[in-house]
Amino acid sequence: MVMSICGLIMLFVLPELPYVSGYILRLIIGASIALIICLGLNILTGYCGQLNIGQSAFVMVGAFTSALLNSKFGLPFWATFIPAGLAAATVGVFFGIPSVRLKGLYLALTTLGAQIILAWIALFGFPITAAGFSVDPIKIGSIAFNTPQKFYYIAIPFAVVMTFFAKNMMRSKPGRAFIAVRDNDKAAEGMGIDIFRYKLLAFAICTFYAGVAGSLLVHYMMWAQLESFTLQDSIWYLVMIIVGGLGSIEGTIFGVIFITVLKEIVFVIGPIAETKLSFLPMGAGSGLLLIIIGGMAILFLTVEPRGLAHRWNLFKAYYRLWPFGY
Amino acid sequence: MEFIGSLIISGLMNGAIYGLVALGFVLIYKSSSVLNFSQGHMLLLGAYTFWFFKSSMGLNLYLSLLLAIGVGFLIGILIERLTLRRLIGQPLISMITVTIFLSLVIEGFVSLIWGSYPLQHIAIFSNQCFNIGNCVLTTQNLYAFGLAFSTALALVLFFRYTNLGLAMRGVAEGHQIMQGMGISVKKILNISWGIAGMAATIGGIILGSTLGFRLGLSHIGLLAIPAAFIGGLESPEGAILGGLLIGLCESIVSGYVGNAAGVPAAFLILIVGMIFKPYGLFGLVKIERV
Amino acid sequence: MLKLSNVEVKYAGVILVLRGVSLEIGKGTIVSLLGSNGAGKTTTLKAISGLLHTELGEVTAGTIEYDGCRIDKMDPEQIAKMGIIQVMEGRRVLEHLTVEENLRLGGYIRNRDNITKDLDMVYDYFPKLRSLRNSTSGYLSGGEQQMVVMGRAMMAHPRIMLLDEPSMGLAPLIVDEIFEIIKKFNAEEKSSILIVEQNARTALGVSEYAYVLENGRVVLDGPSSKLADNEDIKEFYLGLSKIGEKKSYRDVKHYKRRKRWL
Repeated sequence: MVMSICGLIMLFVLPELPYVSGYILRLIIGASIALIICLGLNILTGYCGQLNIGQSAFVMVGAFTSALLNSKFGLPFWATFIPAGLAAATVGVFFGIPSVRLKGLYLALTTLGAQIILAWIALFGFPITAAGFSVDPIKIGSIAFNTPQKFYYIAIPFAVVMTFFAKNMMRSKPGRAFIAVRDNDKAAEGMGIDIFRYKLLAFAICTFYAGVAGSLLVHYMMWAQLESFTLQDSIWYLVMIIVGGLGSIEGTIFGVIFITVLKEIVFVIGPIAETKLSFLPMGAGSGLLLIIIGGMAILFLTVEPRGLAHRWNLFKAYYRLWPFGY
Repeated sequence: MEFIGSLIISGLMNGAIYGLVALGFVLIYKSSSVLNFSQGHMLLLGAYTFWFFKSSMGLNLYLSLLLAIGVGFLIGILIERLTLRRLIGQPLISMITVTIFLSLVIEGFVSLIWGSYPLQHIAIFSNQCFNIGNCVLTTQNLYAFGLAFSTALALVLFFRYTNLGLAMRGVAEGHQIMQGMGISVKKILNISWGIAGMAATIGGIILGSTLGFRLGLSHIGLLAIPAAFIGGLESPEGAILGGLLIGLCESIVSGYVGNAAGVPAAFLILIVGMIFKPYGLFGLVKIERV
Repeated sequence: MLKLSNVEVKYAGVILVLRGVSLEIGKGTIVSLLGSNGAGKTTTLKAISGLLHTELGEVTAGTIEYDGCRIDKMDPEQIAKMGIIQVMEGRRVLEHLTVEENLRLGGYIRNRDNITKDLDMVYDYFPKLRSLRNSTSGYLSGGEQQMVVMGRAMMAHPRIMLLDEPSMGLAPLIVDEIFEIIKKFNAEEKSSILIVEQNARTALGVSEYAYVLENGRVVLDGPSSKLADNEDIKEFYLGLSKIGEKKSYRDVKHYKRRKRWL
């Protein structure tokens, strides 16, 4: 309890510290938004066992909903983030309907389909979304949160609150129902759990989170474009929760941090490596880095296939019983 | 009439290639229950290897083909050895993530050695065309078609009638069970990945000679996924059929609606179709006992 | 033939399951390993057959010797080739394959050429399977699946067959049938059999020697007939206390008696 309060205080004070530059804050903001997305994803995929390869499309739905409401009707962020979440949730539930018949990998395919279909609709359905357009920053009173230093104070509270909700939800009745559906849905049904309803609920929660995050994202970048929501992103979100640990809120946090750092290393060192290694063909530098990063990640997964959270739990068990190993 | 005719034919021809890539998916899934997200990249690597032998080293066409296919086999084995071996028996989702990262590594490797710009073109097949009414068929189409079909047939027979095929199906059911029976799961996985690597290489060579040797080749993997699913992930016949269906659908929808609507339409039809047939046309139904 | 000496097994480095188990299986004998849930019986079998690795387990101390050579660090495939075959608990058939395909895979390592002879042998032991040879094994009943997994093990002509809870979830008559077949197999093929069972009565009835495992340790061992007469065994495993008498609650200090041997 004391630890969490200290942690929260530290979080709030962070931007004031001397070495913390805008760069780091931008990273943290990015990670917070990704955290919200991944929390939703972990609820659906980790706790409820329904694999979702199209999460970033749902982020996009929320993002464009919020952005369009702002751009066409002038509504501020505070009025649009919930509708954004709801819009995403509606679409999400729609794509969750096949889950009544489909299992596992086959269900994953419908989410992949969601990614592709929604992206196509955004590209060819509405000229405005295809081109990209600007969005107002978030405002409270007269303060506009249009710099990383300021937006930090929006992103972190949102992330904290949504993490809190997620953790509590998973400890309560729906959370247990999700786990039951994941582990053995026929048995769950036999115990009186309406599996279809709970699967849809999981889809709704997951995509709601995605929608809210999307809304945050466009108001942070102050620009809405569909290049921010690709299949690659969906896959990265999945990777984050897998590396962190499926079915674990703490795992989501670990995974997001780990992968964000990893990606940043690639982005930063890639171009540098390329200029240094100019004797190799174009694209070699980032190529080399991809090899290293991918190789490391593979190594990591071969050593700990159940994710960071599992390793953390093992460590806790070890620590608790120390110095006796068992 | 001719318009839809040519759409159908081009759709079938493309579909054959999707089917060939989907075969690779099915092979790996059937023997190791892994959905290999790096299949498209293995295709890429195979294509570039062939280019290396033919263009960089200037070897004879047939020698290059042979060497490339051999290397493709080795690549498959290497990948399996380095990464999947340690994941035998672990959660499915970890294995899938590893293949995703693998695709990154392969892309990086290819960029590293050959750069990210398209490579110089190599033509394998003569540009002979045949005319059926107003439709045009090239030799590449025919080769792809024929290859896809014969490979599928060979695999079907292999899985059904040989001991090794049986062992592969057993490995797909349960690694631990097979280990307990003394069957070397490692060896079996080796072989199936090796064959998948070979198949990917062959597909890559065909595609590369028509579309050009460039990084975009790996995106074919994307459309092969619904192909494999439609047919059912455990069925080689299904993979080919699925590929053809996807090719047809994509071609016809894009032709009439435009805007490359074929791809999302294919997925839409897939989703709807799967509600009726959840395991694909020929897939194995999950046997559940509570 | 098979000797475990002070075997210690840990899972994931933090969970200690076996705390120094020693047992011996001679040629052509039937030995049973008894114990309640969580005692470590399945872990013992997996330590012998080498299947611990996929469950993050390992033998951290002690040795397992088979005909004089150490097998505790070997791969399960090699151990199986040496003649130790485990029939895992839970009737794990290869679900989508037919009965005959399952059996064929059982004989994969032994005898790929002469497999019809082995198939006939198994069908002789389990006549019911003959009529089911082309059925998908995932849909068979529990008893039939148990026959499939045992037949699969028999196809490999094991020198030691490790049976994990063969009677679990089966009707009593089928249980008797299966144990009869176990006895027959042992007599005819001269294979040793190590049976892990919770059904102590049946296991003691068919085996010559028995070990009792509790909390990862062997607490009692001896010839089966002696064990069946042992007071403690009778009370804790066979459910027989002073026969016919009502138990007085004042005598409920059996937990103290039980502690004696832990």
